Amino acid sequence: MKVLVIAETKQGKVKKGTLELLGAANAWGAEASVLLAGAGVAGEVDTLGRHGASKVYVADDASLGMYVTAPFAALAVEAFKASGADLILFADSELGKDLGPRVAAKLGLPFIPGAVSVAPEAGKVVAKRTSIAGKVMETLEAPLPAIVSLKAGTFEPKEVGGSAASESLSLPQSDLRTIVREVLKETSERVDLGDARIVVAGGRSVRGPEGAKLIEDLADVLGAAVGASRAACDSGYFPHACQVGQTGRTVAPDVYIAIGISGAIQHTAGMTGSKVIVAINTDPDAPIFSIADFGIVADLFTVVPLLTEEFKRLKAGNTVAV
Amino acid sequence: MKILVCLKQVIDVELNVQLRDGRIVEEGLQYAMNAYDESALEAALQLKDKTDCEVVVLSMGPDRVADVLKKALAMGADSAVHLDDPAVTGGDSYATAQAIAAYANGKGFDLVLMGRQAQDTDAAGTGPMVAEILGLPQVTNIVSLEQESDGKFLTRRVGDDGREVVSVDAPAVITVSNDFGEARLPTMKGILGAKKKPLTVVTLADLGLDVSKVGAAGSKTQVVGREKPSGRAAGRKLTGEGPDLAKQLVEYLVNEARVLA
Repeated sequence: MKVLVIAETKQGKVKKGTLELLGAANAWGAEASVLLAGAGVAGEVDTLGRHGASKVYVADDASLGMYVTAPFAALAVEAFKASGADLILFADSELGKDLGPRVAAKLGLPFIPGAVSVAPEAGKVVAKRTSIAGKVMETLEAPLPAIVSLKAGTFEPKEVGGSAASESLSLPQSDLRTIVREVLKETSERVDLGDARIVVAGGRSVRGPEGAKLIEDLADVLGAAVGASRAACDSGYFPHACQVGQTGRTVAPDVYIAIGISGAIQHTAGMTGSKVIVAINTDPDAPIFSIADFGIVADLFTVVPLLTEEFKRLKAGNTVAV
Repeated sequence: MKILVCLKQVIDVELNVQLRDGRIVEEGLQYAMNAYDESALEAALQLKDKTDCEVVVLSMGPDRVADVLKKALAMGADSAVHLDDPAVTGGDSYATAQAIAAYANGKGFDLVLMGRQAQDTDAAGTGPMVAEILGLPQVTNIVSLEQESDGKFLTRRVGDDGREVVSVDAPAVITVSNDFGEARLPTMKGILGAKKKPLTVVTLADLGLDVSKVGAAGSKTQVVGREKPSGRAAGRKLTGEGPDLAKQLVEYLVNEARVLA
């Protein structure tokens, strides 16, 4: 069994989602290779090796600094051919959603998007994914070779202490039909949502910048990323880059603290993979409580500042490293 | 300018669904235009508001699909095409893309638009697959769209690290986010006018597409089972005084769930 992982990077570092894909290959005892494309990314070969990659196909060039479909698709095809993979794995990110189906059509391979469990078997892959707004769990099958994208948190990254051989891929011919002119930075200095161990998320009930500040303060004391519901982003309380849910990011941190979020499926679809879910809401009947491990029925304006103080005290007391 | 907007009729995902023998029970289901496709139609109609532009809408499926096309005509599309062929049912993204590409090929569309995903499957595969089959550039998950003086299209898309400003040459395939903005409602004048607009029914034979390329036969993936997801169980739910609640939560995270160590 050979697996090809399509890596994603941010500021030259491999994202957690990529290491989760290697975790999947490790769990199956598969031989894992990686396509590592970007600008200034070659230094990550070691990281990939430590997480179980035996071969890394590297395309490191300034022209690959911003993701554009055509060159990345061409590189994925080249890496697929060089690796002889039975299964190509993508993260179910915006990149994965843009590139996965394009590469599938290019290679004429089956594509299973957004899987929450995957098991390769003899000659085929079996995967589960949700449909109908989370109301149905489908089981899909496809013959190998195939392409699957995985929801965040489906597998754990694991350091196995190996090292990877690297091979440079030649740069694809440029296709100037699509040009990314700029990326409008709206993300903060905080840890990236997809990589965060803790996410503190706010909903419509934050009601304005003061409420949003309470969410951010709690996130900062915890070293957490800030998330938000679509309603809260649409209202301008948080940048859209914070949006978690069906049309935002899918996250699976150790702790997800949902504050003033009612818990509509459009939001929860993006966070039910979290290990521990905490909900704070004034409405005791809010649907978020039906999936929360720990719920607090209270006004966020009262309880969130108290929580922030409590965690500050904890850190200062050094009784536990938060 | 000529734009094709692809519309999927989906089951109303807000309503409960029942399963029997691994299939969704059809009784009692209601159908609607995929909300993401509605955003794509809105994007096309906004271009039509500004420039001389022909908007054609395409859907596929049984007779009920005509409802979606009539709504689109009432919203402002110029003409509608209904691919009505029993062979198209049960197709995955790839099989669906084959049918769309077969229709769009050679008709001189400057843009092929559709929602970034369907509300029923959330698969998001069809747009990029249509682009690949037609050999066109793609931009996915856009929240704004305008045409520039040189004929290129300028979009903003939501990527993993923020909003990207992307320009793309026509012809192109573009998929639209539901964050594009609310779609317009059909007006009474629009509804009356829609009756006079052409709604053409076509078959696979008309498109010169073999039945083996579409529907279940043309699919590369197969759904072999459906079940109700097990989901997460509710944990504890506390009420009380703020300071005490805050202490209890910290205690739970640190000593019980042990996720902050």
